[in-house]
Amino acid sequence: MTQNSPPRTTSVLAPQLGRKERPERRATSEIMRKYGHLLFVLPGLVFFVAVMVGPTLFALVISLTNWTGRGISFEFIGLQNFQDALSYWPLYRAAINNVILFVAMLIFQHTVGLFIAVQLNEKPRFMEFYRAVLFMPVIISLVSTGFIWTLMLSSNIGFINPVLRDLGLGFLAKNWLSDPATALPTVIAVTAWNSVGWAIVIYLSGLQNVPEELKQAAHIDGANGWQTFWRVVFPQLSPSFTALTVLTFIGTFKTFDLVYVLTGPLGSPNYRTDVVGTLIYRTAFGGSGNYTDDISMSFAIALALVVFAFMTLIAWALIKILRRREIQS
Amino acid sequence: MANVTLKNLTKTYPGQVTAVDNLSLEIADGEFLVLVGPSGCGKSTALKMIAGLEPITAGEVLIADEVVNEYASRDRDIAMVFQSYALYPHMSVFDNIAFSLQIAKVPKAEITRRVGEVARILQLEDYLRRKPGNLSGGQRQRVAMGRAIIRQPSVFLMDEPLSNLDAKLRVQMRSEIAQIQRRVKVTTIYVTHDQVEAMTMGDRVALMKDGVLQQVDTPDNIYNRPANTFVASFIGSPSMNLYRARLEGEVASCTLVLGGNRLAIPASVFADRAELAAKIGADIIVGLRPEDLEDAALLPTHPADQRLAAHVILNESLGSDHMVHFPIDAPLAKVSDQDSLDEIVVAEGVCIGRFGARSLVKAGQSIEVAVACDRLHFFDAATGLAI
Repeated sequence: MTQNSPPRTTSVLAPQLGRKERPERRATSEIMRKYGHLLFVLPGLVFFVAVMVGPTLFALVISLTNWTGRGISFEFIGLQNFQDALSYWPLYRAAINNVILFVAMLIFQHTVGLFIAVQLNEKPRFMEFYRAVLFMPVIISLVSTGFIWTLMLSSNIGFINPVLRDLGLGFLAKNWLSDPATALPTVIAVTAWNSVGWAIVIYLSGLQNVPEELKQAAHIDGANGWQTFWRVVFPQLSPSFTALTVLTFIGTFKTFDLVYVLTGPLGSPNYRTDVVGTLIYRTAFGGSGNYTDDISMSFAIALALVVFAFMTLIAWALIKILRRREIQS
Repeated sequence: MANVTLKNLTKTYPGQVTAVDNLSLEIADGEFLVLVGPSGCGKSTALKMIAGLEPITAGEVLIADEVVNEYASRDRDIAMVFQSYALYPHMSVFDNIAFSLQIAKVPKAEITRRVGEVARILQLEDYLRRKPGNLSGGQRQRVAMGRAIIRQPSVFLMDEPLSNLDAKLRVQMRSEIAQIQRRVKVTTIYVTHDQVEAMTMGDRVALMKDGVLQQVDTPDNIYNRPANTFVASFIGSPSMNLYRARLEGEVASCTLVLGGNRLAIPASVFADRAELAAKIGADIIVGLRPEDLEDAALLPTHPADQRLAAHVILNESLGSDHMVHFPIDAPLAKVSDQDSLDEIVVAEGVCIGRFGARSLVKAGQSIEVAVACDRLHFFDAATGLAI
C-alpha cells in the first residue's frame, strides 16, 4: 500500500503553488479581514436607506418641482417651493398653535405628571392599579381617543355638558370643539389626558433611581420634605426632564391625528386648532374647504421639510442645553 | 454634645422578623462607641432607629436624656455619615458641606467661614469648587465627614463609612476619623462589620448577633474576656481556636484533656474564674488564641506539661510571624454566623498558632507547641457563655 501510494510532493507543494497562482485570493482575504465586520451592518443599513434616506431624498427631489400630486406632469422650479413656504403665513399660524400646544403640554407634564409620579413613588396601596390606569390612555390609539372625546364633548349626545349642568355648573357648558375660545384648550386637554402617562412613567423611573440615602441625608441635614424634593431630588431628575422635554417637543410638533379627528382637517373653528400636521395634510391631499386647484404635493413636501429642519435644529438645541445642565450636575 | 441611651430598643418587621431585639446601651457624652457584628445582625437598623430613619417597634432612644422617638431626624441634633457617603452629586463640595447651614438660613459670611474651617481641618481647601464625581474615594469620605462636622451636632452616627475604600486608604481614614472625633469630642456611634475598625477606633465596642447585644466593653476586655464563644470567635484574626475539652483532677493539679493531649492548668486560672472549679469533670469549651500558641523550640523553658504534640500541615509566613496550621484531635466547637472578613482559617478542625519570626517549622514536620495555659479561655459547653 505504501509503495503504491502517490508521491507526497503534491500535498506539500500545493499551498505554495496555490499562493503563487492566486494572489487575488490573498487580497480578498485581506479586504475581508479589514472590512468584513461591515457585512453585519449591511442589512440594517440597506433597510434604513430604503425606508428613511431614500424616501427623504425622493421627497427632496419632488419639493424642487411643481408636481401637484395628480398626473405625471411637473417641472423643476428650484427652491421656489421653499421660498413660498417661508413666506406662507398659514404655516406660521399653524406653528404658533403647535408652540401653544407644546408650552401647555410642557407645563402640564412637568407639573401634573411630576406630581403624580411623586405620589406613586411613595408606593401607595394599589400603586400598580393606579399606574396601569394612568398609563392606559397612552396605549389607546389617537384616532380612538379623538372619537371618544368627540362623543363625550358633543353638545347633542355627549355627557360632559349634562354632568356640568347636573353639578350646578351649567354656565360652564359649551360647544367645546366649535367655540373659538375653547377649541384649542380642549385639544390641549385631550392631548394632555392622552400623554400624561408618558410623563408619569418617565419621571417615576427617574425618581426610583434617586438613592434613598440622599433623601435621608437631606432630612438629617435639616431639610423638610419640600426642600428635600427641590434641592436634592429634583436635580437628580434632570435626565428625565431632558427626555420628557424633547419627546414633548417632537410629539406636539408631530401632532396630527388627534386634531384631525377632533376638529377636522381645517383645524376648525376658523383654523383655531390648525397645526402644522393638518396644514401639510390639507396642502397635500385637500380638505373639505379647499378647492382641488389648491392641492400641491410638492409644496406640502417643502412645508414638511422646512418644519423637519426647524424641528431638528430646535430638538438639537434643546438636547444640547439640557444635557449641559445634566453634565454640570 | 450629649449622651445617648437606648432602652430595650426593638425592631420587628412584618412577618415577625426581629432585626433588633431589646437593645439597651448607654453611650457617654463624647464617647466613641463601635457597633460591630456580622452582616444582618441589626447594627445598621439600630443606627437608623437612633437617626430617626427607621420607625421604632418598641423601646426608647434618648439623646441628652430626652426621649426622641417621635422626633424627626432633623430635630434630633445628629449628623450621619453613610456607607455610600450620600453626597449630593449636583452640588459642589462647598455646597455639600454648607447644605445644612444653608437650610438653617445661617448668614452667608458665617457659612463661608465655617466651611473654610472644616475644609482646613479635612484638607479639602483645594477641592471646594469640585463636584463629588470628580473626587477620589478618600476625598469623598472627607466631604461626608465635613458635612457631619459643620453642623456641630450632639451625636455623630456613622454607618460603615470606610467600607467603600481600598485597604490602604481605609487604614489611613480610620486613624483620621478617630483623630477628628477626639478633636471635636462629639459622641459617636460607629457601625462596622470590620473587627479591626472596631478594635482600633472605639472607646468601647458593642458586639451584636441576630439583633441581640452579645457584649459591650472596651476593646481590650472584649478581646481578653469575651462573654461567649461567638464574641471569642468574632474578635481576633485569626480567630480563637475553640475545642470541646474536659477538665480533670482538682484545682491544685488540674489537667485539661484536649483530644489526645493533656495540658496542666495553673491554679491561678481558677483564682480568676470562680465558677471554673465546679466544671472539673464536666465537658467544657476551651479557647486558644493563636498568639498563645508558640513553637516550643523557641521556648525551651516552657513547662513540658503545657505542650501539645502537633503535625504541621501549613505554614504561612507573614515576615513578622508565622501562621502555622496543625490539626488537633479534639472535637471542634462550631460557632455559627462567624463573619470575620479577615478570617484565614483554611479547614475545619485545624488549629492556627501564631509563631514567632524565628520559628523554623515547616509543613510536614511534627513539632511541639507551647501553650500559654494561664491565658486559656473557658466556656460552658451547653450555653457557650464564658466561665
